[in-house]
Amino acid sequence: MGTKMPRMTTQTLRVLGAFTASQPREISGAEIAKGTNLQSGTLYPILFRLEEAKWLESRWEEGDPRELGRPRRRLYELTALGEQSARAAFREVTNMIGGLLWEHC
Amino acid sequence: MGALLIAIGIASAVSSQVLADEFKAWAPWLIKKFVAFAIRRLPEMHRERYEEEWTCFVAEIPGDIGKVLAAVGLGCAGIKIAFELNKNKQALTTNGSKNKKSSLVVRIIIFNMAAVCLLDAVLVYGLRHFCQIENGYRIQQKLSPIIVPNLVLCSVLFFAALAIFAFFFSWLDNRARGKGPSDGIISTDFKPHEH
Repeated sequence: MGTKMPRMTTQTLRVLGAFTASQPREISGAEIAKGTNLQSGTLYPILFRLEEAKWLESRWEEGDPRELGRPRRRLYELTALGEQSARAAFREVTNMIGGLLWEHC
Repeated sequence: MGALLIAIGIASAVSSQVLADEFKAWAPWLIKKFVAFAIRRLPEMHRERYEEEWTCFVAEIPGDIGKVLAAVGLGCAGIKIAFELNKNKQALTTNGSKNKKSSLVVRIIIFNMAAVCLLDAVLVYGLRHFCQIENGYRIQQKLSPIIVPNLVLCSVLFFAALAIFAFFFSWLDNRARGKGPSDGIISTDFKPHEH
């Protein structure tokens, strides 16, 4: 199940870009939203689709919510498949933009 | 004029302060309601996880207005994710495709039968009308015994076939439901909530 290719929209690319650019490999939804300027209504369905496609995996932040004083964060990480697919998608977009520039210049 | 402007200024300052305080007081309730709405859209197995995740997400957004807007966005996210899950479920269950196919077949059959009946009725009535004008009473008399039984037969056949197909497909549907996968979500490898 769930191994179907997610739709490659500009928002999806932005989310994947946030993962490739982030220094800690695991980031929370709020950090992704901050990095991509995406609204929660757009971001979470994308994260869901990427996770279903096994491009992302997630786990709970370590620590007790009572000790942390807030609910735990869900941390997302790009999988090997996700990294490979993201790189391929970026390459494709770069080639496409390069081709367009070549045609118009 | 000056006094009026000062009065308006004071009144608007006081009212905006009151409104801001009201909003501040109501914001947590609103956020809770929106997050609960978003969570209710999701299937049971995903609710616990997203409730904690989204509560944390909203808490990390600065400002009350930002928090409320994020919670509204989560409502949309809940709807979209539920739609996505439903789509996956329909695509992966045999029930979904079977029902889809069977409903298509039923529609085609009903449409064809209705078209045949309509065509038949039009032809018969058209012929009768034509005969009345062209040849008068004699030919109409010859045709009239054909018209009524033909239409009655068509209608009886149509409703009989409709009933047979309705029974047949409800039986098929019941059988498929009995043997098919459960109504749960198909994604079995989704990470459950860890406590």
